[in-house]
Amino acid sequence: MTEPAKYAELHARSAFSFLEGGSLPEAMAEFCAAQNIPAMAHLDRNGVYGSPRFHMAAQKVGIKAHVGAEVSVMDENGIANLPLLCESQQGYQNLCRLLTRTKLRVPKHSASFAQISELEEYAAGLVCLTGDEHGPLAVALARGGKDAARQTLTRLVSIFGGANVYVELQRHFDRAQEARNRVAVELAREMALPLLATNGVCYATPSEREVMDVFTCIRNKRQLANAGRLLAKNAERYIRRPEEMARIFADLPDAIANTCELSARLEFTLENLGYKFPKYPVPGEGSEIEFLRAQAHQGALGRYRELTQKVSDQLKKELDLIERLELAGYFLIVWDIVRYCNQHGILVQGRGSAANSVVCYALGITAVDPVGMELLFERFLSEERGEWPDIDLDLPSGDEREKAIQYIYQRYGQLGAAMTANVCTYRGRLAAREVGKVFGFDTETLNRLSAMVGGFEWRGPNDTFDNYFSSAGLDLSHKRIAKYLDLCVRLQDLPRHLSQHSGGMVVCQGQLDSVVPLEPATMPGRVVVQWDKDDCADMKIIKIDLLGLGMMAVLKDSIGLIHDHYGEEVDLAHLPQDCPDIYGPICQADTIGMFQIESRAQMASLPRNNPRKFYDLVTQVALIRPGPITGQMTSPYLRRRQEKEPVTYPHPSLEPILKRTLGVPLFQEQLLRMAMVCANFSGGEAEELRRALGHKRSEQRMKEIEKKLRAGMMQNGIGGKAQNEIVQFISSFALYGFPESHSASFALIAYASAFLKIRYLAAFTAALLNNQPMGFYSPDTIVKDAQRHGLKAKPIDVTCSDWNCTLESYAGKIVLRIGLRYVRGLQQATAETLVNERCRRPFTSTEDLARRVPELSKANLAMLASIGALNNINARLHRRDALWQVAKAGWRVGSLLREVVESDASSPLSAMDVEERLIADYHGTGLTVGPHAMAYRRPEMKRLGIKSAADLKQMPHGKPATVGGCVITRQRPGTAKGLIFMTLEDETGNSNVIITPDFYEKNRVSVLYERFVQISGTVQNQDGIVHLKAQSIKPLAISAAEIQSHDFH
Amino acid sequence: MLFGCIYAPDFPVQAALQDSPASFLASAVAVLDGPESLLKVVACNDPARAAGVAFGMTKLQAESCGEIRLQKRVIEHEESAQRALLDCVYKFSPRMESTAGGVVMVDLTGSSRLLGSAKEIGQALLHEAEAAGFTVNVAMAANPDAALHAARGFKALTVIAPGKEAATLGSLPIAVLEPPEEISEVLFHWGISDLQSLASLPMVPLTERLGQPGLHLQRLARGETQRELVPADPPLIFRENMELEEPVELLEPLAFLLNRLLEQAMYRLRERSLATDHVELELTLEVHPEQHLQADSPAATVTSQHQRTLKLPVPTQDARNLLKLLQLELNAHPPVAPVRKIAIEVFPVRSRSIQAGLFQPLAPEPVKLEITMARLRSVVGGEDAQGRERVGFAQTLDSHRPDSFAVLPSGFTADAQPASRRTCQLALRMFRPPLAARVTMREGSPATISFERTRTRVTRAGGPWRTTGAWWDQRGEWQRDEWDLELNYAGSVGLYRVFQDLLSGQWFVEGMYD
Repeated sequence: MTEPAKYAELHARSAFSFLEGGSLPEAMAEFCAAQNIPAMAHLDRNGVYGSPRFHMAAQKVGIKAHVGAEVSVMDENGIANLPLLCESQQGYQNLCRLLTRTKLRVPKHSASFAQISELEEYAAGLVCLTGDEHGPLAVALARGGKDAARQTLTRLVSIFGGANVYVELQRHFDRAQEARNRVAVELAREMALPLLATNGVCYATPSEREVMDVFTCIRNKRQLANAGRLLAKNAERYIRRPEEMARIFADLPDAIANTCELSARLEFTLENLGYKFPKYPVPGEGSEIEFLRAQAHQGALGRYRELTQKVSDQLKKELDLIERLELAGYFLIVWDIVRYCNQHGILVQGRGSAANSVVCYALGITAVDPVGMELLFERFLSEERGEWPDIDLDLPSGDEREKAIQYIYQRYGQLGAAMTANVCTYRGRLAAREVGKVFGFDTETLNRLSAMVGGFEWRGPNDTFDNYFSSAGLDLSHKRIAKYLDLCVRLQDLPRHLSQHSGGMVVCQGQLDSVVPLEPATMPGRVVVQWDKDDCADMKIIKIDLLGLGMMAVLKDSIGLIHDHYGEEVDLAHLPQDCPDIYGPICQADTIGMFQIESRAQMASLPRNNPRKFYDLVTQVALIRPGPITGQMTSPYLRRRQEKEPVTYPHPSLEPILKRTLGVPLFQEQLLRMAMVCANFSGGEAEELRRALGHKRSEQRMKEIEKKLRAGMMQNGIGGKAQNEIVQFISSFALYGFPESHSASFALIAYASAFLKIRYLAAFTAALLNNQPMGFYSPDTIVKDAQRHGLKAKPIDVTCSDWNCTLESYAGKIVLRIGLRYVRGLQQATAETLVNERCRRPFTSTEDLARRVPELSKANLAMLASIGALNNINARLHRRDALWQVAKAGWRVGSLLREVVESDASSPLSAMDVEERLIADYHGTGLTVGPHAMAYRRPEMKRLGIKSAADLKQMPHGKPATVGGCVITRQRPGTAKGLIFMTLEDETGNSNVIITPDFYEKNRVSVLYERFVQISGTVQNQDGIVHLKAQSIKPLAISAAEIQSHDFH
Repeated sequence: MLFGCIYAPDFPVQAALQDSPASFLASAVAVLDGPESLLKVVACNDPARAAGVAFGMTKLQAESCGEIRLQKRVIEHEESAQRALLDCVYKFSPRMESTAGGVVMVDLTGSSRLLGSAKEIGQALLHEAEAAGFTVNVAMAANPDAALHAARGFKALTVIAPGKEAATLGSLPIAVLEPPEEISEVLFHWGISDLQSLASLPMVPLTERLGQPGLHLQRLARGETQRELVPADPPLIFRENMELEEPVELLEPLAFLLNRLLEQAMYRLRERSLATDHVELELTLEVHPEQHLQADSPAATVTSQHQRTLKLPVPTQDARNLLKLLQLELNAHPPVAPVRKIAIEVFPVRSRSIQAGLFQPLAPEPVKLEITMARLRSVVGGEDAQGRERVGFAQTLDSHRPDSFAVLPSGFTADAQPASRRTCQLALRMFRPPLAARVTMREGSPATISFERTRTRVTRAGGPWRTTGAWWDQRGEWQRDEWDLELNYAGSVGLYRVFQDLLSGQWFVEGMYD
């Protein structure tokens, strides 16, 4: 019997070469194992993008994963792709540095290539192959014949050394290739270089050649029909069995034998990456851990004022573990960033699992007291799990976050810190569209398809490509259409390009560019690594997330305004807890503008949940998420809160985990712990589950996990209903759920926003208006809500408004002044010139204003006049007087007449009436500080039997009623089975209307486009939550003002 | 002075419905225009407005308004509707102006004796337009602008007595003046909503603020402007007809007649410096379907049409060449019965003069080439079994598929790609079509082959060279393995290219290397 053939595939690239490879690394690893190939080298084009995933997959199936890349190199023959394999850690580091150097030289999306001199510099530890038809040997041969090829080979030998250059042979049944191979063999024999057979793999199986062809078309912006010879000649670049390779290369057995020999030589794998987190430069003589202990102790004293035994014990336990895991440096570095933010007045708060750690709390990284909240530290860091801690920092979005990021770049150097990447993959709509283009569908069909294929969510069993295509009018029995459908499905989850992750940063001891190649991001000054956050975690690279949060900016601005106008200091870390006056309005769902609890769905559950202490808010934040809603956890939880149903557990073993949430899982950690307890998941498996639940979950992964869960539960004797219930809990969390610690951090911000809104309404409203757009409501709704709570708001006035909304004293009260930022079409720089000029000397007339602020265009002046901002400029003018004047002031005069001041005479125009003022206000600013449009028409409404929002709240359940008002939000959440939630606003508050899908179909126009409507229906008044279920809708002719509704379809 | 104005509201809708049955007129209709991906409502009728359709809505929004007929805007329809409106007015006076889509002005000064009072003329205009299928407003006034604005603003017929312009127009909204957007916005903010308030603003301050355009608007509002009409041109149609006393049966006398018509049409084209690249020939034939019954009875005679179209690659004014082409066309597709009537329409385009490059190789004149090709086509026929043109320019296709080429009707296109780089130094004599063969394999390589009734042993084989492609295409997909075989065939050693069609399993000998 002959010995089975031995062959290692040493030249393969995956879909992570972005449109130049057709299979995922995992599929390639699995296929290798199935074909009895002991090792494979994963060489992406100009990067190591897919290497971590290939490494992890290879470990799982027990094959050896070699690392390398195809590097584009420019020489006198042109650009060639040179395959390089990493023999040692030094080789890998050199490859990373080489790629970083070439990538950072050119802007993102530009072709990068290395120079010969750079190859010489970074050659150590690398083995070079001569490549395929785009390799240096073939390129030289095509350009200059055998002599040029010899020259190229000689140069490669001089760069990498004779032992490190392999003459590569591929056989794809192509005449031209065979002719090249003949020359290559001759040259190899002549120069005594080893031959190496590879298959230049681009995909796992021959059928993926179709994916490859589609990618080629997408890359070249062609259609299949006209791509011609850009497409592959045949489908031979798949993973071939060793026997097949041996047969094809029967005439050159040494080329096959050398593959195993070289594979044995390549020692390096990603296991020994050589990543080290940077050390923190400790002042004085002590070690990092000693310094951390001192800082934590000192911080804890500041936080708790007095250290209880429980706190001290916890602190000691955590610090001991940090010492054992050698993570002191990491904590100190995050502490350093937080300290920088504090010193520079940037509000910062940690979220994520870090909120479970008392050390983080003591260091000021997080603001949730884990001892008081009884959060489990082990979820953040544990010795057994071998996971790395994950600290996320929330920063005010915009410039301040950028400042913190730049601080890290500056502190660790451009090559020592970078953002993590985000791999954009083909999902439903993108795949349908791009593949459609490649198949040459007309624009109309493409539009129809994209409109029909849902976004990122697979919402239900009917949301399949088959159904989408059938409803778009495509005939699935036609081969071309069937192929199209097939390819759309096959493209799912394949990477398309790399973008920047919103906030993840990695830093490294020494040079990050020797750990992973860096490349430029689209944003200038930003650098990203070639791996995404999961890859970084797999490679045990610690990341810090710096995320931007609009509400952080609001909190910070509020604190500044409170200091300036109320003369009080607010410390967010020490807000008075559990104040009834704060929870009162929250329980009544009076939460417009408050972080996370202002949406319609949140408002509808607040009176039922009835939060009275901080932990109630934590559950509230987690409650209204697609996960708990579709998993049908929200209603049981609320019923249990109201003691309308008993607290039960799917299985007695789950009681300790679910006790705090009344037997209903609401947090991600609970799901993970359920999997660990019921189905014997190990720490690593639970971590895998957590990732599968992440936002880029794949159907395949979820199915595998479900299988594992059921098997585990069967082992533990959990079957039947309990098993189904638990699986249902866990798999529905795939549609997003919050971790408890994350909820706690958000709840803290929610509480802070509620606290500021209730105690310092003027400051909070001004800050909220200055940070728009954010949240759920339009500025107009925010102003109207604040007015109903007693805040006096004053209109924009060029004699006193700044760019931002400000606070003023008026009759002993603090009032809000709307800022010039709300004037439509006014540039910030122009407004600032106006304010500076006004500070120099007040304006005496509209003429004076127009002359001294020449940046104000005619349109700006007219806009200011029409919203009444010029009314107070000298004498009392009405808006039309001002408009009449600015119409003249806008005509620029020559230098001779520039100083001639004309008096402001009254105009022939009549003053605006109420309706005209409303129209002008909404047209010019999007809001009004005057009475609500409905207020003017209340007597008429009463005559028509239309109730106000306040009246509706008093109506008993089941009674018919009619309400009228201005539509401020329309929402059609994916989780609500097609129901539309509409909010109507009038001068007394908001009324909530529910619109059923049937009713919507009959009244589409009124529901979607009318600004003012009257709706009749049945009152649903339960547990203090009042809704009107619509039965008829009519437009109301109240005002022609352009009041905008915030719609979420 | 007396001017009349016909104004058709929602003109695009009226134009779109011109040829529709009357029942459609009452239904809600909206006309959409814009790029295919973003069609928006550009006009709608009253029923559609009542259903909630508004100007600028997207197609999706309009669809959500219920039962609305959505039609895509067709400019040709509007042009023909406008011509119909002009026709209505032309009956009253040739001094007319095609002011805008759906607006036609006519100068009726001095026609009262002939046509009656202003009111009578107005009513006659109204009836004329209604008879042509339009719903219109008509206004009569002493100046064209006042007439236009009254027609835009008032329903049915309005007659403005001279000197009463300002008083009559006063109640109309500003929008009838169609002011420029920026002025419209200013007036809106000023609260000036009707012509009367605009007319009453002080003139000098108004000019200081809105400049001459503002002043002009005010004068329009007061009905004080006077202007000349821009005369409308009759449309350019080059159609020549001839009805024959005796039907023509032979092509030769027909050609003689065609020549006359073509000469005439070309003369008219040349007069206007135009040329044509599109000729439509319509022959009305005399057919006797029941000849065997009553051959001489005129009642049994029915006529039938025979239409031919000529399209040229370049415009021409040469009647002779066109005649040649028409003759060839009629030779290939002769009329089946004697010709009773001839109509030729030539479609005008701008004539094109081509300056040939100094170093450009000489090519035959395009029209002559066209004639030659038409001749060849009439001899060898149009398309072959594979659907390829038989006459034209052969061009290799950009494909890995061996021996793929197309025959194009006109010359080489700019994106034609050079043939792939030759890697084989030997010349190959192709067998067209390839010869069917039978091959036996040994150890994965051909061992014997039989073709042309001869069986021979393969002495050496190279390959396979595999190409596959067009996997997405039901008809075009191919998969084949090529082999280069050394054969001792017909007494001498030769090198042959043989391939197997992998989809059918069939073997072929494709050619022989020299």
